[in-house]
Amino acid sequence: MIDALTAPFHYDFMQRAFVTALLVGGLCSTLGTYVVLRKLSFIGDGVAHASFAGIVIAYIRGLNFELGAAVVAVLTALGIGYINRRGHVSLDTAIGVLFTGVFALGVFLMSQVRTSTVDLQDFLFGNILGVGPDDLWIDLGLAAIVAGAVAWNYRALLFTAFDPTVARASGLPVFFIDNMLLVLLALTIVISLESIGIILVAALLVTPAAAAAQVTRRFVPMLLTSTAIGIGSCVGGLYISYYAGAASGATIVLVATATFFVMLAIGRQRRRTSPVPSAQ
Amino acid sequence: MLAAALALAGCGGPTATAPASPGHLDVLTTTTLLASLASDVGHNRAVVTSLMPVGASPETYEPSPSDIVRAHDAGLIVENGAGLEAWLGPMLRSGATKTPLVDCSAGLQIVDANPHLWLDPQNARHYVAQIRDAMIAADPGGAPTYRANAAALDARLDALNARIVKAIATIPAANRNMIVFHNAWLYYNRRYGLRTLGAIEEVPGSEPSAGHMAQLIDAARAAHVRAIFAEPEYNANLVNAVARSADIPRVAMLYDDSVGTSPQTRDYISMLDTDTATIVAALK
Repeated sequence: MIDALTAPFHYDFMQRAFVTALLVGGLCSTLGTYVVLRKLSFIGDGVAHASFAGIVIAYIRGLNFELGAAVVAVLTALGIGYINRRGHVSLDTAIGVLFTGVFALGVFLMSQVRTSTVDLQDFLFGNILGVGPDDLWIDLGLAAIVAGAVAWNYRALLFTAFDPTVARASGLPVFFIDNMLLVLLALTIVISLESIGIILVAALLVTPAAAAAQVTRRFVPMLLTSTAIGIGSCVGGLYISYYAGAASGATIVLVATATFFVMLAIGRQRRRTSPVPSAQ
Repeated sequence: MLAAALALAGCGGPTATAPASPGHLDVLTTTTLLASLASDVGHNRAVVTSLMPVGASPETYEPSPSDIVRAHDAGLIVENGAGLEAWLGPMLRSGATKTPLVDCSAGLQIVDANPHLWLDPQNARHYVAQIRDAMIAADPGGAPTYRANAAALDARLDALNARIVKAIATIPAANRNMIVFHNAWLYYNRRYGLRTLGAIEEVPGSEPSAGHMAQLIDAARAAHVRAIFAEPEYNANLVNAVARSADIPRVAMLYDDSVGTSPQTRDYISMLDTDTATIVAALK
């Protein structure tokens, strides 16, 4: 039994995968609490696809791919906020409009480049099994920045997450907080993409927090439960992928999805036994 | 519009070796490597272009509407077959049903449903014969040209085969192990006596499992593999991860699904000479 748990650690690619799971899995599922409360569930897929336009432009201009992806991702995130405020549409609609538009721009520009020597999408999207030592440092730096920004603006983020109208009325800088959250999300998505790939980023930003929301409506327990589910899914998924011979990213997502349904059942059971909803 | 598309597609591709005078036959190949062979067979008579650009993956290619127009207007379409171009059938049904089509791998033995037959030059000689016969059928007036060109290319492929046999013989037998990104090298390795220990992507475009990566690393350590092979078109993260975990000192780049843009990899024969030199240098 102990051997079964330690065997994967004989390989340093697995050691790095586990550390990445702790860092990026924890980071995405922490931010996921805000994503789910603010109805930003498609931001992961949206920004990930939009950043494809960034690397196409960087490729055409001969610039750094990561930088191109990050700039376009941040601009797209700010654009989503702008359309939401000015366009009288909800955030999910704003994401839908910009994500497809910017991704299509990337595909359009790519189709104009008839001779490419690389598969650009393949270059953008990493795999948790292929994380290099440099990626680990970048992920660590990002985790520190995001954790710092969240801790620093913890109260304001909490208020705007639950009720932006009241938050604005009580004098909180909602505009600044909204944009800060979108920029943090954009950077997290772009950097996580390069180390763990698109399917994992999109899922970890939503599923752990949605699972946590089944058992608690209180913010801090939800944040901690989400982070625990995110990290647990990554670590559990990596073990299953190792022993069952299944694709790692997909296995981790399926563990998170299964956890969601378990939490759903637990939540239903609890509500049935104690009909009084837990207070916020 | 179509002329613009053709001009755009032609630049930088293997059509650099296209005939000086305008040809009598428009030939459209699916991949750049088929275009390299076909343009030699059609030299001075046929204009050959490749549907896919340099560096595109034939397993996952998505044709555009202008590709369908090009297929419709072509006098002959050259495909690899063996399941490589799964996207070609629907594309032809939607607009180019009357264009003659030649399946280069028809008549060859396909192993494990693997379509990369062209990487064995002896198979490429079969491809050349198939292309020659299809060109003659589509343009009977050019028969003497196509026959002469095909015979000359066949001799060059035979010489290439001899060079590879000689080069691989310099690798000590115990070192003839390859770990590759995707299993394009099956036919080459069978021909020249190399062992394929494994591929990172067993099915093109599919992610490996952690267990599969661990097996590759164990196999690499057991066989003291000296080099692992990546491809220039794809992210080398996973290849690098296997190299680090198994203490493999070298990661080398091989061209296999598409020609490259440098003079050393711009056509079929120079690409295989370059790949062979890379393999020998990495494993010796």
